[in-house]
Amino acid sequence: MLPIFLVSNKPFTGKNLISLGLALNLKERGYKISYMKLIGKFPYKKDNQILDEEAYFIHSMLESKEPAEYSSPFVWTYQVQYKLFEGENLKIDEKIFEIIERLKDKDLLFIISGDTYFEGYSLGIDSLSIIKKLNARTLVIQSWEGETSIDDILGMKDLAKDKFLGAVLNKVPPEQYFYLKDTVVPYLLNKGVKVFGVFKKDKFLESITVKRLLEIVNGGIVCGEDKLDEFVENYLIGAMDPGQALSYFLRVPNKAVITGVHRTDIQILAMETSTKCLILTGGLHADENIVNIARDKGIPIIVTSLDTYSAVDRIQNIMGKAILKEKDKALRAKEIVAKEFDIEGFLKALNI
Amino acid sequence: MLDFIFKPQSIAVIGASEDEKKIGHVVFKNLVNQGFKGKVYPVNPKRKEILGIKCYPSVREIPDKIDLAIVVIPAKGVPSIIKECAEAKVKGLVVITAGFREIGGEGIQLEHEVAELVKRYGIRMVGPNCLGVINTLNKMNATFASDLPPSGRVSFFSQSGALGVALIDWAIENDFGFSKFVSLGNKADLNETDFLEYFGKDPETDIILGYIEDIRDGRKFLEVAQKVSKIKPVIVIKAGTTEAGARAASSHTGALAGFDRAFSEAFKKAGIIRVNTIQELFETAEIFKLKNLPKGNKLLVITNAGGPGIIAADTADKLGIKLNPMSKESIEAIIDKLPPTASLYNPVDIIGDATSERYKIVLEQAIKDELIDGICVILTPQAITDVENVAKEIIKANQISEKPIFACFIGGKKIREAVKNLKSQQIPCYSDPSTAITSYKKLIDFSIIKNKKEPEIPKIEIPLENKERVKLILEVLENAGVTSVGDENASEILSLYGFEFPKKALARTPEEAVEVAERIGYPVVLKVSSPQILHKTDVGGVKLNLKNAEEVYNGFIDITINVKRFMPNAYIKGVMVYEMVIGGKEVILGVSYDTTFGHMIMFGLGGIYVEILKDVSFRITPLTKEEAYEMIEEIKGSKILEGVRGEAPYDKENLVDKILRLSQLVMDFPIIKEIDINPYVVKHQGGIALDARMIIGRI
Repeated sequence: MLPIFLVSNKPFTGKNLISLGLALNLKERGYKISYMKLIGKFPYKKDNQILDEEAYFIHSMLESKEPAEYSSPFVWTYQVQYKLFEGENLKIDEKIFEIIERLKDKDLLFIISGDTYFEGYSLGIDSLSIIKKLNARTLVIQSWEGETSIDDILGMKDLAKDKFLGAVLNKVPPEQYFYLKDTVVPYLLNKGVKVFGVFKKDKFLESITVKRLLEIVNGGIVCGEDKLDEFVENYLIGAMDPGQALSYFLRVPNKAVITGVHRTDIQILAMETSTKCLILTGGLHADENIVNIARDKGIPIIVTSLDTYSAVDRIQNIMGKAILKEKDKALRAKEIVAKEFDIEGFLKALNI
Repeated sequence: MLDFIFKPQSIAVIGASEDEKKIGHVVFKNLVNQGFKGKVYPVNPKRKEILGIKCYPSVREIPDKIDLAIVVIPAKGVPSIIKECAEAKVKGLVVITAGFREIGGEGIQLEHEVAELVKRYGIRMVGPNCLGVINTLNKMNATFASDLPPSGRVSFFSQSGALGVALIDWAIENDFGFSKFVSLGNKADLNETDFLEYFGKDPETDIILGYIEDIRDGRKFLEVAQKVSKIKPVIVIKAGTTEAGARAASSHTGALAGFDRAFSEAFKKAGIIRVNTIQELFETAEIFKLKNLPKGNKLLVITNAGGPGIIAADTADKLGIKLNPMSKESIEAIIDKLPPTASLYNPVDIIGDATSERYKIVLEQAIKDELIDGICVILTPQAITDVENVAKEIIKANQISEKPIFACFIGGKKIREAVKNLKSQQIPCYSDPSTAITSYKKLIDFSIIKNKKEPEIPKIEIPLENKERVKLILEVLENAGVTSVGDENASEILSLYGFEFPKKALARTPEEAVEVAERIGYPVVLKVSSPQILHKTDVGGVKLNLKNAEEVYNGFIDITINVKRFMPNAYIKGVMVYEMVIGGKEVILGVSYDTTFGHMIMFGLGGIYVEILKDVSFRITPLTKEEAYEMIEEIKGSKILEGVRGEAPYDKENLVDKILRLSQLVMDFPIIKEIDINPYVVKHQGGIALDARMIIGRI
């Protein structure tokens, strides 16, 4: 069994999504693949066991026969932090190595690091410790946030030494795609870094569901209950003069529009454009006419007693930071990996 | 006293003008031509004389002592004029000139300067940006409105000048008598409270009317109004009543309070009779011409037509006025004198062919009847109705009656003369039964206000060490920059002020939670303890009714998981284990803060009653015991607390006590701006607070 370690130095770079996309592709080619997230942060109770919700989803998508706990051996909960600070030795590292030992008959095991290189250090499961202890081949998943993004890659290359496999550049703004391919990738190659894929920023993958919006603004749903699983890719705030609103709304597709419950002018205009959901703030009573129009157009309306600022603040905090738990997104990841990831080169680098 | 404004011996019009189109001319002319009984001096450096009266270049040059100066020069010149007036020892100023705060920017600066100056020189000022002042008794029309209204005993202060002009015009047309009128303008110095106080003491004023948009010093206004309203009716229109301007508030209570609520409550507390339209203002003023006040809310309606009688009865019923029949003796005394088809009960319908004789019979009996507090006489001019004689009978009855008698004559030409006669004898006469009754209700209200005891604010004894502790907690919070105070601190503060809270203890592990639960006794409630989480249920941070160790253990884990999911970075202290409170009724107790009047206490039933029906009551602090009771009785759902369907009643005494304690707390610590105790569970005996929050801050 060959452990592949997907690392990043920032949260939400796409490690889980890419590993799933890759795993699904390799599975199709007949490889026996397993997945493990080292540090879970989205506790989820399944059959009296606390698992990471995302890890559990990936585990199901891969149709693994092993216990779900193998995919999510450790979740960072309040109890863990309490015990840790009380000085208890949690022996998380030992547990993880035991599980890995039991996955011997697999061809490949994708291990997902913490959010940064040092995350998990207190428990002995930070990126460097894992590389050292497991001899894991290390792949950096880097989200592109400007030129300094290369430093996390080059730094890791030096730290992982001969265990360094290469990098993937993710969340690349579409207009910079060719610049990266023509300039940055050759530069990295010249420095000894193989880039297996350059993935464009994908609005769909970064989208969140109406359901999640409902949850995050602690709202009530007035209509469109059947549309809770629709994906929202953008959000706009409707606070402007109605004269200017339309052109502003037209520019952004698949959006949620957040506006005051009394701004019926804005609400009507928003529903004339590509809107996935209306979030009405500052009251729980949507205008009846608006509800009728929304029903007619199949647009869900969420009402919340939060003020607009607080609602936006909460939404902003989760946009692009959704965990993976929808099948559509998983399949999309598989498709993108098949197209943009150099699977042949990857297998060759692994010598399998 | 502001006599120098309404009863000056001498007036200088600074900025008097020859030009008929200028306000400086109109004001001066009004004073001279309408017969002002004092001296008037024009001041204008460019003129030798105006309207044949010697003109002075400056107020300082006038040889006479000047009581009041009317200022009608451009705004920029006002500060130097004030200095001159100070040198000339002028006592009062009426600054009609506009161009101050209302234009913003420089105007605001200028107004500050002017306010500073009058304060420094000890001159009292009306305005700026006002219409002026009127006193009909000394024929002083120091305004630019055209004519003096008729003399009367009603005085009026108005924040709107234009409305003032309209009213004067209306009063002339309708022969409505005024005593004094003042247009408040921008209220840079004298404001509504000053004139309320003055009119309250003015022997020439019986009724006080007011139009206000805002109040400068809410607490002072309340204090003065409480005193005045016990002597004279104070009838006020307050504009700006929509809740559109309600400020966004961070707590429940604040949001429910809204913008206009504070004014309504303040007026109620102050005994002010509030009206909503100009029409209603005058209709209400009309009823207060009556010298006799009703002793209770029982009214007799006498009518010669069924329809209007029914309208009157309907309106009375809606307003809680009782239309009980006269006493048995009374009915027996008149039964033979009226036709058999007459209705002897209430309304007494003396039918269409009634003449003044029948009115007389009923009136004479009614004024003697112990069961009747007031009489409304309705008349429609029918074939043989001798309208004028009916009016005479009413006037006669009114002269000997100790009860208020008012009329409602419906018609046009046929009743004109009679109505005039009634009005000349100070008997209110309306043209619509519903208006008549609605106006009369205000007379009943006033009689209640007048007879109200002096408000007695109960002193609740809080041990000194408790107060000290509250002070300390608040200091620590304030120094830490905390504005939203969560349950833990809020409940400690409230406990120190005599509120009961469920037994509780913090657990930091599931095992500890079980241990605490065993000690407190099942069932228990678990709530996440984190200062960052105000709305605990929203993040899955609450578990109710856990009945055994296993449920508590799992509940602890579930809560910590939920919170991590919603707020991964929230600081969690642990999970608080509470005794579960069973039974009782959930109510909400709260405090909100109004920038004009200060703290208000709120009470309502819990849950949907508050959220959807907004069935809540408010009172401005400090509260009397009676007010606390009223708060509970006032909500629509108050019957629920009396126990429905065989349930025992809930402990209202406990609620009253807690309302008074909240009042005491915010009076002691005004830094507390809002409190939400939601829910408070009132039991058949006692009560217990389940969750509390506060907002603190200085304004």
